[in-house]
Amino acid sequence: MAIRMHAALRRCTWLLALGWLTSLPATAALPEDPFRSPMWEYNLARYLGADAAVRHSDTVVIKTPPFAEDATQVPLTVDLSAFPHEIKEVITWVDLNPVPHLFTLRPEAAEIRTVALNFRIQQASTVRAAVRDEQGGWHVGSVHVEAAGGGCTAPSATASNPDWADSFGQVRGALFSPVGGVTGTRLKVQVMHPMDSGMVGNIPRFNIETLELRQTANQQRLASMALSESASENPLFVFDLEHDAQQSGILLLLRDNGGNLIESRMGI
Amino acid sequence: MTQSLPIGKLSRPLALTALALAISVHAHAVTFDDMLNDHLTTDQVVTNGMGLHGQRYSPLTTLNTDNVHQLRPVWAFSFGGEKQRGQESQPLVKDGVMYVTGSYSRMWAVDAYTGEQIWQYEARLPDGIMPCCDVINRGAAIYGDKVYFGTLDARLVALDRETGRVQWIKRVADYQEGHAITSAPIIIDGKLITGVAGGEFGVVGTVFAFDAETGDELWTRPVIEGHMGYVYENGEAVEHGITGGEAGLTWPGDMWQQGGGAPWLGGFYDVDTHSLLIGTGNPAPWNSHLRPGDNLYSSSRLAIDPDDGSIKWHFQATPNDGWDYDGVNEVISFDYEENGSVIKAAATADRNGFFYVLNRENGEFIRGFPFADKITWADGLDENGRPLFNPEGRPGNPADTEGERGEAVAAYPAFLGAKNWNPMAYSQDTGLFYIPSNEWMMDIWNEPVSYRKGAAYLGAGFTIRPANDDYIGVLRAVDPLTGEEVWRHENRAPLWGGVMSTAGNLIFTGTPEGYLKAFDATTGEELWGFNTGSGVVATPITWEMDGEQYVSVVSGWGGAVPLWGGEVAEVIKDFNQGGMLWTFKLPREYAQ
Repeated sequence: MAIRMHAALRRCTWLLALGWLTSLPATAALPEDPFRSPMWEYNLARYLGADAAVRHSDTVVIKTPPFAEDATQVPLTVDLSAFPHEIKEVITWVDLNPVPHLFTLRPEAAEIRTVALNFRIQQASTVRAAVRDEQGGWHVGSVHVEAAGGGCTAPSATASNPDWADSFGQVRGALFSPVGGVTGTRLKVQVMHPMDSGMVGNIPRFNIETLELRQTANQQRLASMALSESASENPLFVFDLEHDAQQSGILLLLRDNGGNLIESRMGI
Repeated sequence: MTQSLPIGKLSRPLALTALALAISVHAHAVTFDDMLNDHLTTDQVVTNGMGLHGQRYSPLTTLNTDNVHQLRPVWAFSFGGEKQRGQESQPLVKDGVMYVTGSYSRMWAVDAYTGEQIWQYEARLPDGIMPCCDVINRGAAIYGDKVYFGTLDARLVALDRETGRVQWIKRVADYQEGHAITSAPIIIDGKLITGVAGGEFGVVGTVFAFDAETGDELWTRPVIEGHMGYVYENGEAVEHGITGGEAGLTWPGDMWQQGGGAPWLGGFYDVDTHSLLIGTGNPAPWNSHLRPGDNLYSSSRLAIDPDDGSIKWHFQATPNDGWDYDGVNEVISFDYEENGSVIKAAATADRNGFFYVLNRENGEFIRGFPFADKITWADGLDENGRPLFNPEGRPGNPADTEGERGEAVAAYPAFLGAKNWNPMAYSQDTGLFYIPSNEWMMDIWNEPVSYRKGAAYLGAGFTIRPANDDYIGVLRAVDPLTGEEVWRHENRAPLWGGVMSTAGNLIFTGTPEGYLKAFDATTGEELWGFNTGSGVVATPITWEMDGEQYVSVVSGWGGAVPLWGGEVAEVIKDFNQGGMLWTFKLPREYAQ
């Protein structure tokens, strides 16, 4: 087995090198990063693919505080209300975090115009949101967040609470109607979960990896989301859905890397 | 729920991808046939017990009494972290990958050739877990494309063999009541079966069966008289008979409701009778004067139908147990010839100091004899295997004395048992059982007690003392037909690791002093030893890869002795903790 493994390793390295070479022209076509982050091209290639068509867009609006008062809990809102295309996928990352990826959101039966989630920040960093349109092109919004840092490698508050298991998996949330009579639904929900990043000594990674929103009545999937270690402890999610959930309600399904399933019914 | 979402186009680290690729070429689904033949197969170990009957006998002869001195380490793997504590796990080997569990409900997949880690899983445990006897784990089960083990918060976890990703996790019992799982679960024809610990907290011992693929509950069987068993049909619990027929036959009042009997060591499987052979723990509370009667089925051996959890037969070693003589010790199926006919027997060496040979078809007592040097609680066994109690050997009833405390007695063996959890082995060549046993006694007295959820429910005080000045542990070779002790090997510290026998006429076991040792199975001569750096309280395995014979054992001192051992502390107080998986082999050039 060991011999085979090495052969496979070598082959993979070679393929990767080839991939790198052929992707050079696409890389060269990437727009300049106004924030001049050292991770700009690397993370674009990593999360969007080496030959992704990328452009900056001021319709991908990221709202964060300019300074992260609490590096373990930084509020993030991605506002796509002005985005002129259909939204196929939203990927967010924090350039200088140890695991930069924050979430990947895929709207399915419901359009999503706003998504919010608090995140950890390890040091002052650019934060990105990339939105894929129906043509496959990526529209990237960026902001810079100042931070004292350490958010990813500080023990969670949960870790010092001996009773954490009592509130583990508790879900608090509700559906709201937007003001102004617009059709649609705002889902706001907080889940009690340590979301340990695995970067604190002797505390293994323990975090929610996937989230799904389903219509309660027919189980139709409205959206799905994948989360990484940059997501904060006891994460607070907000989704503005172009979907009338008042009739049927929404089912929230979460799964963590420990195999725990958390299920909560919103609305009806 | 759903398949996990790919994270954008996030690529896996290169080495991981390549490794997963290499393994998937080799990984074959583990079938029930693999397990049924595990005792005959030499290139893998896919059951706890090296065979579903738990004989721990390998037919390999490559390594033998002539060349065992050439056995040498090839790699060692650290469990890492600060979670060093007792390591009582038996590894499994399949397709060149070793699966091993460790303290604090952790598990690793390791390349069996190199010791390189493939994946690691760490259960996130609540702070309130209540394992009575250290944060240990005794091993995994493997079936299909998954590996399984139980956690200290009484859950079962199913992991993908190749990636270590959780496939499902299932709460078996409430850890806040005192439940925990430390034993290796067993798979019988697609059913994942486990017991739970917690007899010190007055839980009701129960055996649980789940669908190994989905984690769906299949049946539950409480082992204490009066409690209802259930089978699950379409997710609904359907009553399937009260254990023991009805409540109150062998228990006074409502004492059966917190009757203990935790089957915390799991069981083995006998294919001939299609039975799960499993032992039950001490009755609760320890103070036996509060529960006159036999207290079925505490401190017993049970044959359970793995299909629906029905109890086929029982054998109670210690009725009205007042000494914490759990009856959990392994029941090993073996056949022998007598007057030209084959006897389908099962043997068990009890904590109470007696060795029992039972007919495994009906549970009838064939013979029994003491294997411990001194037993004070009983004068012997009657023709049905029932103890002839010595009234002087039972701690006094607190009601008979002034004040809270009953009269103390000096009892042999101590409550940690003439033999504890650590499994013995059977050699098909010598026909002997090799028992890792201990010579110690206790002063024990009874006190009044009442039940409170999650609190210790003992009603007894105790302290353990060594029976001899110069040794506690005794590795014994015992003839199950005559009761003769063919040889013994004495050890200064108590023996707490399991035993393995091989067709190479070898017996392996570990010592708290840190050694893995090999003995001549016939004579008991010590032939080989290697100091692993911390106490060995786990069970060794052997298998072969590419024509070479390997031996593995986990090292890491801990378990119940340092927590409960009383005066034994004098002997063991300087032993250091550990967490290391050692693998040895006989290089090809020394094989004969």
